[in-house]
Amino acid sequence: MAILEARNIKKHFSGVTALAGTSLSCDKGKITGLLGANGSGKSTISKIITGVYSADSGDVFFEGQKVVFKNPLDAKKAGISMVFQNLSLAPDMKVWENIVLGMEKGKGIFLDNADARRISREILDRLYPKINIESKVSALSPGEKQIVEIAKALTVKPKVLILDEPTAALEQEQVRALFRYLNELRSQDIAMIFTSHRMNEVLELCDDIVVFRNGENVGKLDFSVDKKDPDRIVEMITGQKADQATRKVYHDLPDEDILEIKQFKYGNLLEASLKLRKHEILGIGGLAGQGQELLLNVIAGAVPDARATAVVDGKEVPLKSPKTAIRNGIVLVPGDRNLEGLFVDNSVYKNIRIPKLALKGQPLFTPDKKYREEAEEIVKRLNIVTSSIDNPVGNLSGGNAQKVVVGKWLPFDIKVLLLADPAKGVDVIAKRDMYELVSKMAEENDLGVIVYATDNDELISYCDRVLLMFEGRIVAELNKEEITDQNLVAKSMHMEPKEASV
Amino acid sequence: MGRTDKMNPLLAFWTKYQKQIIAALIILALFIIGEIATGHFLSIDQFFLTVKVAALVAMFGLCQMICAASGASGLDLSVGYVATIAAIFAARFMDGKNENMLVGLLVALAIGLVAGAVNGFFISYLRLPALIITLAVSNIIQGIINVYTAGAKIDGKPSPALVTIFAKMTGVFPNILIPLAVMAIIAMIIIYKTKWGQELLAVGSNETSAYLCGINVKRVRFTAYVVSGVLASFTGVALLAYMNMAFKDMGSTYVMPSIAAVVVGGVSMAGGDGNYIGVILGAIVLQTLTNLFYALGLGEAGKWVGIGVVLLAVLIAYVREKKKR
Repeated sequence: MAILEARNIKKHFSGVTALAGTSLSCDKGKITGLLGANGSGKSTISKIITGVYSADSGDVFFEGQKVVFKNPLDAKKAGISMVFQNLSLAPDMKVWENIVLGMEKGKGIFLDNADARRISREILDRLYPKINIESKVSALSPGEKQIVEIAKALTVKPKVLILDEPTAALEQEQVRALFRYLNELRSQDIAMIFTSHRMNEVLELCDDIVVFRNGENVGKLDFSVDKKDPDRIVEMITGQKADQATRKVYHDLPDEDILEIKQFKYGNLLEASLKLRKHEILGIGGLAGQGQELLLNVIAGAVPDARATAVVDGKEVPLKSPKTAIRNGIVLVPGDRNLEGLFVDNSVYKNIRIPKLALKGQPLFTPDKKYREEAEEIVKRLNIVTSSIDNPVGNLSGGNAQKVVVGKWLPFDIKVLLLADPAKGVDVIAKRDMYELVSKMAEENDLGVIVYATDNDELISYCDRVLLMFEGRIVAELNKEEITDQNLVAKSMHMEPKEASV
Repeated sequence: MGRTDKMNPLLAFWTKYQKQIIAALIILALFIIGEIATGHFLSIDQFFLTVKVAALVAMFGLCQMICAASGASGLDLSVGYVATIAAIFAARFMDGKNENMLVGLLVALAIGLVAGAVNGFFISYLRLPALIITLAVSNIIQGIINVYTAGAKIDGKPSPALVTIFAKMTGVFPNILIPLAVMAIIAMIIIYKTKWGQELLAVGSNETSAYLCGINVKRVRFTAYVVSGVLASFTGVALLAYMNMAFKDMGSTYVMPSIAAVVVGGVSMAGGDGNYIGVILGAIVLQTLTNLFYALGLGEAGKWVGIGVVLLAVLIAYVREKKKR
């Protein structure tokens, strides 16, 4: 009999189905792995169980009783603790203050801080003793913060512990410590739901797994009966049996590098080198948040501390500022359109004009007439739908606004075009238009393109080559026909432990 | 949003200059209210007198506008004491003679340059809050003035030519409006037509986008504070001529109204805006309001309450407008 069971849960977010009658259960003393691609509903169901969201329909049963929690604290008090993926710590407070936050005990009108320190110390001693409970959370490394987050879930001994990608931010040694602790909890008959993108972790830790795809249950394996077969699990996640050749045409690549990034190391965050050919569209893939955007920012000159050097079309260029990069033909279309790419209150025209200020020999007085004509050209060429070039870009639809971000670089002498998740929040047609434009530009203007895409379909359909990143390093390369969903998922997930991959 | 026909030109004009038109209408309304209430408020003389006093607030307002335009909660609280110390030294070097005018002016501007560079360095390169830094610089200069005036009397006079330019009237027309108009034209051209102006507004609208577009964000913001310092010291010289003397606290009463003028003029304190005409109108609104309260016999206290209420009303109106978008 399952201690926790979510039955037939449905949930829609403004018209989009996140969960279509999905179920999940877990047993005492077992760790259930919850797997699925990004957006398959893993986090959503956990959040419904713990009362962050309410379900449109379906029920949650806990110890045989139907339950509806008002919020995660309510669930925690009842015995279901959740460790969130997005850290919910208060950075300016101390470790022990964070651990007991929301569960503080009183002593008269005062807080019982001695007791709080004792509880925090006890949990961390068993989980990861290296953390000083008196340090401020802001002084901790990302992995240590994640551990504090886990400790926070354990102040009241839970009956069910839900861990949503707890290892994503952890270093290998911390993963080991966490696993030891989780095994200890398992022996104490605690039920756990464990979400991770890392296949080896799931295979090592879990007693059984549940797979979601597009908000539906698509598979279940019980490792006491079934074989631990990673290929079968990847198949369940992607829903594709054989390799599918969805892409036939690749660019004809001249034997000429347009860009070389020399080997560089940026702290623990990033270590990479790469080469890009003329006309090539190079995809960067992998699980989300493995340093892909940071890599593009380094190439765009926006991370001067990385001290990276590029060779652009035979010329050595230090990547010390976006200005240097732009002047040497490296331009970036950033991932967050509104925060990094646009001036939303400004007109389409001004958005197109501003990057020109970085060019050499820019006259003291801006030649508006000439630039306006250019802007009109760009609007026409990219088919940007706007009442006029003086319309604030904030009034445009997502796809059209994205065209402005790309279009502003058109008048430049581009050698390398960097695109960070360019199709995010863009509809299908605009997405196709944009990739076709980029593909055409690559051939006609003799440039190389590097695109980071979170959606594997984009990598399969438009890239000549794909580099997969993991923990800030490039760990696999796929060429032309090798770029399949199967390969992309497998190479992103079939990772050896960190010691082995370095 | 689909492709629409060209906007009606009248509507386009209204959309573009909405805030300035509203400010102008407020001024008109205040004069009419004053006329109805007192019977001797609305006249050419009265109007020019109001504008004459407002001119100095508007000049300080340009400093605030440029700092605000550069983003990162920019403003310059040090303008009052920068102006004061610049005026004290300008008076000393000019000593009431036209032939010393240039030297006195250059000394004043150099003081402003240094003060602005200090502000700019801490705010832009060390990323410290403008509010705190400019307040600190303001206090330091105040201290310097106190020490200086303890040892030496403030003496000296502005050069007579400057007095003619900033203090005298030609008939009913106050001469100070000519330098103000020149300043306004230059400011508008620099902000809207030059490379630096474009960079300033871009940095203020979205720092990250500006950086990724290749703009040297730190340098641009630094220069904004340097320009503010120089303009503050120039305004100090204007104030010296206007008052025909320098004294210890001559500039400090202008600081808050100069910030208020920016807000009332409809220029966003959040950055990226740079319509100086709005600031001038804002200064006139505040001055008219002040005069009205005096005319109604409500005096100093009434004036501050009035300014506070207008500020609140304006801010609420603009916040609501932002939310609608």
